[in-house]
Amino acid sequence: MRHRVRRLLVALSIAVLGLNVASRLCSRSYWVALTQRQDLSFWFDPQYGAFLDGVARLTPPSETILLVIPPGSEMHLFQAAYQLAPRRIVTQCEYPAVRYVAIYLGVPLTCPPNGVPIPGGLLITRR
Amino acid sequence: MMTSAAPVLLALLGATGVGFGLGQGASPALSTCERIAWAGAVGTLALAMTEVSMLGLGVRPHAAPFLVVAALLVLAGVLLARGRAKPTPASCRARNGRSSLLGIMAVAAPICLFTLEAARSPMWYTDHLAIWGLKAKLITSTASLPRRIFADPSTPWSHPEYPLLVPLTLASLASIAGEWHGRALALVYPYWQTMTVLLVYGYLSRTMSRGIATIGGILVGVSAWLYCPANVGTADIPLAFSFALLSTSVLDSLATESVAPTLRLGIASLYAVATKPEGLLFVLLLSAVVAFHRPTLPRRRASGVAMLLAPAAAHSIAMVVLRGYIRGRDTDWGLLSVPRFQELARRIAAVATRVSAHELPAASVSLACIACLLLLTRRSRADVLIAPLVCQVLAYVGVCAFSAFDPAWQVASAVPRISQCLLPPMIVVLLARAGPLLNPDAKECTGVI
Repeated sequence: MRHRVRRLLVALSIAVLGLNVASRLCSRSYWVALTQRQDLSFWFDPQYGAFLDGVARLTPPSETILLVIPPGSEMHLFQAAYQLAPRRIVTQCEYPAVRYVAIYLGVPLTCPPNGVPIPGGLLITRR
Repeated sequence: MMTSAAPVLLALLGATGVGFGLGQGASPALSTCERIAWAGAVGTLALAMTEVSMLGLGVRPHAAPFLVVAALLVLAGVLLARGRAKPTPASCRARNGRSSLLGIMAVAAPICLFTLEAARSPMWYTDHLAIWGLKAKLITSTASLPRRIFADPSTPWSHPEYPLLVPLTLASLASIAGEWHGRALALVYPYWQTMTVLLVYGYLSRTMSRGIATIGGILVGVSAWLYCPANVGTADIPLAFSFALLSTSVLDSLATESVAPTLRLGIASLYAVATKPEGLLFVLLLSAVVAFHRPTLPRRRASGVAMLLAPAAAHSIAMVVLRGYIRGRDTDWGLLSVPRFQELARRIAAVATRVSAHELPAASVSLACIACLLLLTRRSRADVLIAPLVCQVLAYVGVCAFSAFDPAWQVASAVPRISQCLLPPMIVVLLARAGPLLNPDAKECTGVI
């Protein structure tokens, strides 16, 4: 009898452990999301992808680019470094050394003579 | 997607084949599932090593040189295996029972679901963009190991001190595919999941029974917080695989006189240390287990410790030669100096508060189940893994007190995520204890000759 109870409790513990580690699979949102094919790369800012595409199109792969992004946005910096690789992405500190400055504000900007408008910002080529 | 996924899948299949050829000496008398898993480990190591060798020789990595190297490696494996005695069948296989179709489907279902999830989107999680994917993409796009991945002041967040197995594996697959395709490359993560499930299933079916192995395979496969989209592109999933490799090979090496488990220790150790720094910690903890395991002969203990530590030491030396010594920016060991003891005490208190207020309650159901299973079941051979598993989790929590950032934030962002990687070995421990109770025919045996 004791053996049976122990066996039952062990089986129950394994079942609860299994249900607990699989809890994410039990939510409705999981199954809804599973059927949708989508690009989550720019979940934090859906417009940012077009901006990076623009920068990639207008700059050679070997260049260093100074990126100006909204302050405190790590995801913008990480995505830029990743999507634009092997281009080197720097922030303010190396300003004198760079040829390209990519400014992203998410809104159309007035373009200086040495700049090219790209979606969500502009790209300035320094001489 | 399909045109990019096909070369990636073929490359993974080819790597497994190469692993089979190369790893024959290390996997005699294992179950078929385990042999596939070990072949996957050896194959992906071979992929990464071939990539780095080509980069070192100045050859631009692409499919053709990989094919040549694969053919040479398979030939070498076959030649090495010739004349070797055929393995004796494992002692307890006869009464392990047959796999039911339902059981196989239940084990395969979570793998299919995760494959759908992984291929749904290009890899997007922060750690992939900032660390693993960035390095892999730099290696692929420059066809070299650029100095930048170790020393670039503009990317201090990319953890230049981390090992390179994951970036090199992704880069080698991209080289074979001929392009960087995020969705296609993400398929390597369900591959690692499959190998982990096969290893746990194979180990439990060899040492316990097919029924227990099915439960183990399902429990590992459905670990939905480990096999989730956020971990696609990072090193946590391969790290879990390396922990499973290490744990099963340690259990085998302590149970038998055979040389093969000791060889597997070396492969597993290299896999773990080359994946993530946490792998090195687990290797060191398991070395202590092997070194102080009284029932094992001193000579075998020494060879086991040597096989665990030698690849770890060789890898560490190779990394220092490659990139120099780099201090991680996430930890502040200066807190150990006497003038900062008060600050350290405050941080330890913050970590303890965070763990007791959030992490423990969140994991309470799982921990209660684990405690019940440990209390209700009898000792087993796999119990030697309990101490290193507990120490590993405690080390994760302890290191947070030395974080260069807010220690409570560090606990919240890192501890639950990296602790999940220990689930496969934990499941082996729990089922090795529960097996004889659930299935009286499944008396624990080594299954290795």
